[in-house]
Amino acid sequence: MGDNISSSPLSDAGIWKAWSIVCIAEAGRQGFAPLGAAQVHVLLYLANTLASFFEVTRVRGRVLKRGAYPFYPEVQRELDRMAFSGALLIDRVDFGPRGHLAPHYSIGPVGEQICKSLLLHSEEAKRTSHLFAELIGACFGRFLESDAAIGPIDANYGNADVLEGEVVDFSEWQDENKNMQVARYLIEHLQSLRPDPRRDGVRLYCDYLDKALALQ
Amino acid sequence: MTNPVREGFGGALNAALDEVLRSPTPNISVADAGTVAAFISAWSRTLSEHARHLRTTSQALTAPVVVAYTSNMNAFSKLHGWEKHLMLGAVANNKFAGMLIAATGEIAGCVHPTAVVDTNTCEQLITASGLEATPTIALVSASKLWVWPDGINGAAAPLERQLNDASKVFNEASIATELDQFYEIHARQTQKWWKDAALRTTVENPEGEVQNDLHLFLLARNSESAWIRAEEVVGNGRADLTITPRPPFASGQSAVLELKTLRDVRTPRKPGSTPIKMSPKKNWAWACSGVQQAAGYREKHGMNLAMLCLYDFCAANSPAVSLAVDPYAKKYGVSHYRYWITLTNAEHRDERYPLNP
Repeated sequence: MGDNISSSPLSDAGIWKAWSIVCIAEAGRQGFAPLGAAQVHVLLYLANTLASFFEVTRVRGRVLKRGAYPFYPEVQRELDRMAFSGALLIDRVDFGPRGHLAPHYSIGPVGEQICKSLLLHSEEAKRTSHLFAELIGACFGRFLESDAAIGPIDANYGNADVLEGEVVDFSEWQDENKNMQVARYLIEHLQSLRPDPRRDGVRLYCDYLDKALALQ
Repeated sequence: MTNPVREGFGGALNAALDEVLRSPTPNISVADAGTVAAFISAWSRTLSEHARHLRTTSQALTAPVVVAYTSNMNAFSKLHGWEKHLMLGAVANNKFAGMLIAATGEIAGCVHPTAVVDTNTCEQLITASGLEATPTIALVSASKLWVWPDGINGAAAPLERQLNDASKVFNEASIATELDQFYEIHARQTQKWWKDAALRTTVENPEGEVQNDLHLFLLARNSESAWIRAEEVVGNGRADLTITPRPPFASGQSAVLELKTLRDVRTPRKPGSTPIKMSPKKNWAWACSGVQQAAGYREKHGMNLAMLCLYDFCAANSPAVSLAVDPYAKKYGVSHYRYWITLTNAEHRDERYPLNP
């Protein structure tokens, strides 16, 4: 199972847009949209660290390690653009401390068409949609409904080697991708239950996050 | 707070990892998220657990609970104005009585605005909302669950389950009983699997149809006591269905089920083309290959039982194929079962009630 990574900044922006649309469309299908911005960033981050389970190419993206959850400044700009172009809809905005705005996104009619077209023509997009379906099923109704603060207990983001305030591209972590290591460790130790090597990699890592948040 | 780190796992908490390893069973999957199979598995399990909670606390179910599948919950909720409950199903001891729910995933659903107290009203609301042809699960008392795999107006017969607290034991005999019941309730006189009665042609991929229907049947009946999985990648091939007992509600043996269909003619892809005849020899060879596959899957994954299920669509209803399979099945420890799929009521009657036995 290789850890492929995309290569050009232009294609990265396009892939992030496609991922965001597929993610928010799938969340809507399962009934969880509108998604708050924090939830979108957490789902995109988890998908990018666990992408290899579904043979999905990982995307370059810099995360600023500050705050309780992984946040991609460059992806946020793409989300804003898509909201203004009608691909996404902003259902409501929460006003947080220090004037922070937290938009909640759902898929717009344009985004639905883009999503359909992506899934019709690309096997990679189908695998990506499958990855998001599993992630959303595993995160919602559990921790992500109320708590997106996975940062301190996430194996990659919470790694002490990454300092607070540091900018890091976790897609560059291949052999060091701790989230994959944790997921594979759990699958290996639960072999007697015959977990699915793809779905349950994602589900067991999210199960770990849920339990870790409860223990904190 | 100091993060106690397991060596090599970055920021992961040891205690949480241990917790996952101690109690992973609810979260091991049986099907892809958002699919009908995952829906039936999850919601029949949730409602069974709710019924168990009612029984252990000596409560009765005051009104039925009905959950129907919708392929897009947000769209359904917007169209019909049902209220979304995002944590619904996360905890089995929530109050469910009187709820008519439309759901896509394993957790969350949208609920009809008024409580449903009787089954007639419920049926009308399901039909009015366009849910009459989608998988539906109803808990009607603390000891009875109904599942309509094709919806309340669908072709498949509804499955009635008596719920109790006994632990289930999976072994060859109990799985064979499940297979017999699937045959009697769902398979023997199905219209879904036939394409053209005059030509005796089946649908194009009969094994896929049989597998899907058997998978949903077994999930609906056993979701809290076993992991029933379909189309798993095993080595270089795929096991058709696997059954693994799910503790603490079951014990016993795991099994791989290999399904093969036998036909007189192969269904042509182009309408109007002449069907290609399948000789008995070809059918026998196909059936015997199932012995090899079942034995191979069992060895590869250390499962206990290998069972070959032959769904025989041929007019002759001949035991010859079983005789052909038997020596190989004995040699490799594979049990085999043949089920004749009748095309007409006349075939059914002549076989069950022969005038010249």
